[in-house]
Amino acid sequence: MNTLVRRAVLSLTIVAFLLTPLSAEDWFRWRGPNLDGISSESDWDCDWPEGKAVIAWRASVGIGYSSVVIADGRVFTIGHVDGHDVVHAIHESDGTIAWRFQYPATLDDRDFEGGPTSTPTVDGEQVYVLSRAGELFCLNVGTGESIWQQSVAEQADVRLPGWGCSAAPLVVGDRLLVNLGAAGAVVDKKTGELIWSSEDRESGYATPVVMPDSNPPAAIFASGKAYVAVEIETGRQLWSERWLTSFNCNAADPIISERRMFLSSGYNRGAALFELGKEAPKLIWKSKEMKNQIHGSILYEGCLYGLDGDMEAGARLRCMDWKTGEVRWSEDDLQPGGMTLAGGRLILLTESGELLVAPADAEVWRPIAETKVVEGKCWTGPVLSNGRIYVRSIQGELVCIDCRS
Amino acid sequence: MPNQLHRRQAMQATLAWAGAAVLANRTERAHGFLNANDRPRIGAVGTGSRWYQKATGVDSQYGSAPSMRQLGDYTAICDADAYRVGLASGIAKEWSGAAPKASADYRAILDDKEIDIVHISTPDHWHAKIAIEAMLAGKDVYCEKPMTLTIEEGRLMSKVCKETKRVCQIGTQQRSNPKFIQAIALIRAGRLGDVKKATCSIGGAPTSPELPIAEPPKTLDWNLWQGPAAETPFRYLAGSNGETKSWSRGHYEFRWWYEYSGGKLTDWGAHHCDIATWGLGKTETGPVSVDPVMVEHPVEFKDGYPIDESRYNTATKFLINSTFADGKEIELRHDQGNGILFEGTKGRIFVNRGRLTGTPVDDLKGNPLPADALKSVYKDRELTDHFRNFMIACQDRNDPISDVHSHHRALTTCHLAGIAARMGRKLKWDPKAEKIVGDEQAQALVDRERRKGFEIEV
Repeated sequence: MNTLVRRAVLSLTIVAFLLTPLSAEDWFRWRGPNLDGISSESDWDCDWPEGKAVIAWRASVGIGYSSVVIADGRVFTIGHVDGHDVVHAIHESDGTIAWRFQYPATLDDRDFEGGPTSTPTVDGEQVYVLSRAGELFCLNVGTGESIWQQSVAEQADVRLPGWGCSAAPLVVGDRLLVNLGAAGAVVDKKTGELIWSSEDRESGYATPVVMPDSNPPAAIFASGKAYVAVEIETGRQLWSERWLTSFNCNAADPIISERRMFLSSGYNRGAALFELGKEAPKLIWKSKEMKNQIHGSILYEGCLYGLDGDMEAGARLRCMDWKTGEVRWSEDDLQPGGMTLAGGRLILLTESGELLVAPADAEVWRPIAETKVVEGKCWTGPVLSNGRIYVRSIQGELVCIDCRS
Repeated sequence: MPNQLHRRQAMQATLAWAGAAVLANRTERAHGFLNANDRPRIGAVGTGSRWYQKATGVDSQYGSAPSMRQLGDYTAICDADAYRVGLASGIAKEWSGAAPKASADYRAILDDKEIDIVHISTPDHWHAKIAIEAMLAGKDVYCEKPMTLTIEEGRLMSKVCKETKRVCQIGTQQRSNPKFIQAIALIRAGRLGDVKKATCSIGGAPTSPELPIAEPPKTLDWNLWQGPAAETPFRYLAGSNGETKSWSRGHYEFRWWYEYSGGKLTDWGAHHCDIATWGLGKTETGPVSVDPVMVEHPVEFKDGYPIDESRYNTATKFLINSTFADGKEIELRHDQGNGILFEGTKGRIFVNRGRLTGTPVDDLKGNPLPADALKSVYKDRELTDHFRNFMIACQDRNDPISDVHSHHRALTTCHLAGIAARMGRKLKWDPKAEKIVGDEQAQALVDRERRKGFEIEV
């Protein structure tokens, strides 16, 4: 294909994409189709009379922190049940089980409730699952049958981070990026065969992020002690930004926008914005006012919306100016458990299971709807897809709220 | 005259075990010797951490000696530090059962007719003099990298090696690592197309605080340690934080001083620039221009020399481009981790000690290299470790895998990068005449004056 033709096809594709109604969208991977924590769906209701939402269904999916992904009418998540981690595929329409796939796993509840912490990734006919022990499973999206399974940790011969693997696998072309080792590992998505791995040092907990416009393509991996940019083809390091946190806990995905990169960690570490160029990142500002312990912030219209502080002590919901790091507002008493953004509205789940909706407004936090949807502790961010909001508790109650108008 | 050279035994000392080697070849043994009496006798000059870290009082298996001693016996030990002579002698005795001859002066080893091989692990500024004298004395040499302190020393070593027909292996052991051999084989098979550029990520040097003048350790002969380098006071500062044990102008840390080394440009440069030069097929020539695009030194330089003598002075950050007559490039840089990226018209590969990656590597599954591709790169010998390769070369009298001549060419690029960094300007190099063109001040750094009594006499 010559360049002109390719450009024409590309333009048509973009036009076609823009013309697609934004009312429904599969949230098929961690942080959504655009990897930014934002759903473009705007055609959904949060008109909850007397605080009562329409609960479409409830399901029990086992103990854990795994978020949900949605593709082709099915909802996928992982939970721990009796010595196994169970991958659930649930019909979006009625909450009935389409299939289950399980692998042996320990609950491993040191310091927290335990269970799986990573989120599955759907890619066409496959769903990929990474266990805390560093095993990777490729399952048939329709049947749950195992297509291949590999222990990436063993193949790469690298140690697991203290609380096990929690990043979602990221598909880039024919490759699957896994956050394991000093600067990630990459396997062939068709076979699970290891293509490259990095040195035997602790990884962090964030999901790899592709650097936009990088040529050759590159991704950023959170290690225990740094955020490292590497070429996806070779694993060659482009730069490493030292980022030390207590317990090597770099868990928030880096946010990249217009040649700028935002990093943030909890345990009193704080945040910083960098300029990305050909060489190592250059610091623009740093701040102690946004400490993302386990949830990445969301960048929307020039502001970061994020949870600041450690969850155990009670985090604050904050809005921060992207360019300057200035705190625009801070809500200190909400006890937030997780958050997403859809159609210009923030959807916040509190630790105790209340769902709040408020316009993403850089001036003020002003909720317009509130409903209590689940009992128990919630630390997993809510997800909106195809007009439905999904909420799960750590104990494994998954609730589907019908918000279709 | 402390520098008197003894040539009387040249070409004779190795006869005893060379004879055994012929026998060994006849029985088609790939390597090794028929009985303990035929094992080569090795003299170690310099017994610091590269020889065997245990000999510095640190409990570590790091070093060349544990491998080398499988293939020969250390029958003589020499170091300017009596403490290390003591520890190394004890270790050598444990290995071979017999106490080695011990001395501070390496000439005792060159004079010893019983010695077949000289293993040089001194600081860089001593390498060439000892290696040249050892070859002239008829010894085969295993010299740890980087081979030299200056370009001129490399020219001399190459000349003497040819004239004496000695076997001299440089300790760039990446040349015996299958990953690097495979990388070269991929390039030679055309899997990358025309390879235009090799980028070597080799790290930057550390900095130090101001180091006060201090008494050298009682066991160290500071005058002998300095040898050909200009005389200067010893400096030392104990580390104040947990990260650095100490800073010094001596053992191990010599590599962060231009007076004794080239910093990272020659420390890791000797490894990666060697592979880059090999891969680009430039082992018999050199660049025509060297451009210090970006260089940071921890101290100020004037006319190529540091003006503060109390701190480490080698480059902490750099990006230095060397271009060959046909436009091919070698880039030396401090960042981007550690390894070499080869970029060709059809593909790119990345190689370091941990990995060999890139689409041409992935393609090997469906399209493997011919069966003899690796052997062909490895100078038609079977792949083995770097020390065995050396011993086999000592028997068959052909060049070992890391020969003096190609290493001299690769290291010339590193030395030129160092000179360009120190001068802070772009250099033109005539690879045939081996001279810097149109810059007398820079050309003066191609060689160095050696202290009286430590000259190299050929």
